[in-house]
Amino acid sequence: MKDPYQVLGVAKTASADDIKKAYRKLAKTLHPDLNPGNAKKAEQFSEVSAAYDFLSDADKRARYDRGEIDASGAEMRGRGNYWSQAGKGDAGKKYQSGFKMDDMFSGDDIFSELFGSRRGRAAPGFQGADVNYKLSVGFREAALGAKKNVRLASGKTLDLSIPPGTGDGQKLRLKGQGQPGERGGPAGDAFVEIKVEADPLFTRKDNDIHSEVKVPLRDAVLGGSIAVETLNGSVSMKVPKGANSGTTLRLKGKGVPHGRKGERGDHFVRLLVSLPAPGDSDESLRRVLEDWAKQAAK
Amino acid sequence: MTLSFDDMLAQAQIERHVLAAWIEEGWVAPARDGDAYSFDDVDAARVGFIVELTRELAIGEEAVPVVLGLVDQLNALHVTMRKVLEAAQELPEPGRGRIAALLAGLDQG
Repeated sequence: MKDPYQVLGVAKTASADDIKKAYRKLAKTLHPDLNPGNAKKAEQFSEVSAAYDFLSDADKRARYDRGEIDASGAEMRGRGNYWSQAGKGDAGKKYQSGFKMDDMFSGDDIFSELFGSRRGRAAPGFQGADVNYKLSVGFREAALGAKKNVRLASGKTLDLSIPPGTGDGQKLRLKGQGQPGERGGPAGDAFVEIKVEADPLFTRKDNDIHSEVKVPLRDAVLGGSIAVETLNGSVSMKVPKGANSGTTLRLKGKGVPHGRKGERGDHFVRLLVSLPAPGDSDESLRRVLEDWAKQAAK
Repeated sequence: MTLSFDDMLAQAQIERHVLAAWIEEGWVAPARDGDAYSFDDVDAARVGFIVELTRELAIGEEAVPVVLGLVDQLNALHVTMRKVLEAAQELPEPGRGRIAALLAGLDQG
């Protein structure tokens, strides 16, 4: 073992009384029964008490000082016996005071506060489990926002507000609609995953809407106004002179609403120039084009 | 294993009137049958602890009940804490994980 003088922190010249004082001072902070469950202090304590036992034996101390023996003869006494006995639960019960399981939830100590049985104040308790649902929502409902009636596993139905701009796969949280909590803890949350249905006209990229619209040849060549279906119904769009198939025009602010201030994305319209239906085409158009073809051939 | 009053005196190496006084004060509470006391393991360990307190740590008689009272509370709290943690083990996730996370946070804080 280590030098017993060092262990106790005393000089070699220390009196028996000094050694006793040094031991007591250390033992009061290290005694295992005063530090239950603290293995590090228990080990320190057994070193300190072994050193004390060794040095308080005047004969051993004298022989150690003369270099006749080393301190290896010092016995490590096992201590902390009371703690290990009293900590066994039922056996030590009669001496345990202050924290009875019976009282634990009855409102008079730290645990009742923890589990919120009487004092009502911020009680974390055990939160119930979260539950997950899936809900299919129409394209326009998701884009513009809607109210949906949802039936929960508990049998309860509630109004779910789909906020404008909700995207595919987005999860909406219904606070407190999950499994009930335990011991006064809050209920878990319900998460509703939104599946946005496809739309025959529109596709969506972030907050912008994309669609294609047919433009009669005449309007494409000469310019004009055509009706375009948007999220908010039909609007009139100007087509510039000479617009070709594939030209994309932007309807500013006709896309998906997002953000608190009601900002909106844009609606991009891709033009598809279309010929008049066969049979419907008037003779004059054919003649014009024949003339044009002859001119071009020259 | 239980010890008689005399066995206890011999093991702890204390005077008869000292042990009688401790019982009188309620510092140790051995089972009693008529005039015969019997000290179980916990009682014997407690007597040993009081001996260490008074003899080796030089805790004065006046202070012993204070120390014992605190140690008793501490031991009870340990037992309770263990039960709480055992109860927590029975919890389904995510409750258990949440408790573990909160306790880990306490250690760091």
